Amino acid sequence: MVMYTIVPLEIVFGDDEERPAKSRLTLDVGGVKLEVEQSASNEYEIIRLISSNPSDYLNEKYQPGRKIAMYPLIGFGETPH
Amino acid sequence: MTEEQEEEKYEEESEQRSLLEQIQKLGQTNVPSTDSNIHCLTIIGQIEGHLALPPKNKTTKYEHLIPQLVAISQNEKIEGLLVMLNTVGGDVEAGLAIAEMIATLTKPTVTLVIGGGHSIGVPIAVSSDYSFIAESATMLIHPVRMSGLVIGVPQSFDYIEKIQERITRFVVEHSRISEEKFKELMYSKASLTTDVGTNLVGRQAVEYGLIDEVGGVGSALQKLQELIDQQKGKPMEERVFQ
Repeated sequence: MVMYTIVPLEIVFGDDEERPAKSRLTLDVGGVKLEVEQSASNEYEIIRLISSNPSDYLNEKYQPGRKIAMYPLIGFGETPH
Repeated sequence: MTEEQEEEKYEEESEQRSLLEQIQKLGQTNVPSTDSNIHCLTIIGQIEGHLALPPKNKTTKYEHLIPQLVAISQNEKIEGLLVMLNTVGGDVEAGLAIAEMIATLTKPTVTLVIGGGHSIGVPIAVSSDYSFIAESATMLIHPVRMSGLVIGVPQSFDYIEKIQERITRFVVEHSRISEEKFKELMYSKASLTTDVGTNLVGRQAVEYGLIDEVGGVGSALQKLQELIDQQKGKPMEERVFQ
């Protein structure tokens, strides 16, 4: 892999110990991608929205900073929708 | 604690763990979204390709962009694409892949460089049907650098040279700049104090023929609508798919 960037490679690949690694996930919600970070055991905070549809960015449900609740789902062979 | 108790405790714990592992998205949102006929891709920070970068880097990932580009070209409701760039460069292969995808899209495309469109951001910036740069935005053109231990200097040089060539060819083919001029900017020693290359600010990028016009989001959207109307006006077989 070749990097072609103005940022020095020492900075791009430099060690990353200052920030504790929090559990981050990328979810697919209603056709858009949400990057979330765990904030409590059953709670995730939206960090970033990835969508090409500009109107998704006006949707308050996807606003970064919003907390979403997630609970364990127990399935028996089938994934409920 | 007896062995049996310990075993029981362990089982309980692992059950809890597997429950946590099963955390899945819940509560699917069903939002009546207003469909826009123009979709927008923002390419920010580092362009991340074959290697995941450390989390402190802000990245745009090619595995997100490429399927989005396919979806945009497939969806009949989407008539045009606006690409916003504010990038410091990144993976060569990922950048070129994105640039090729935008260049071969069958719908009108407009790119807008805001802030910066450096290094591998340059081929992406020129890949569209029409490109804009903000007055204050900059584009840094410099050679691809080699890092780390180099074994076999002639071979490595040849390899980097070929990568450089791919980038140059793409930029020359998709903009008005000549190969000589682009290489001159790339190897210029006069512009940057500590490095080889040229930093083009807004209007300069247009003067060199790299970008089509100086403008902002308003002019970019206007141009995109104009291109959409142009394509709509033509009969199907006469539409130029660039």
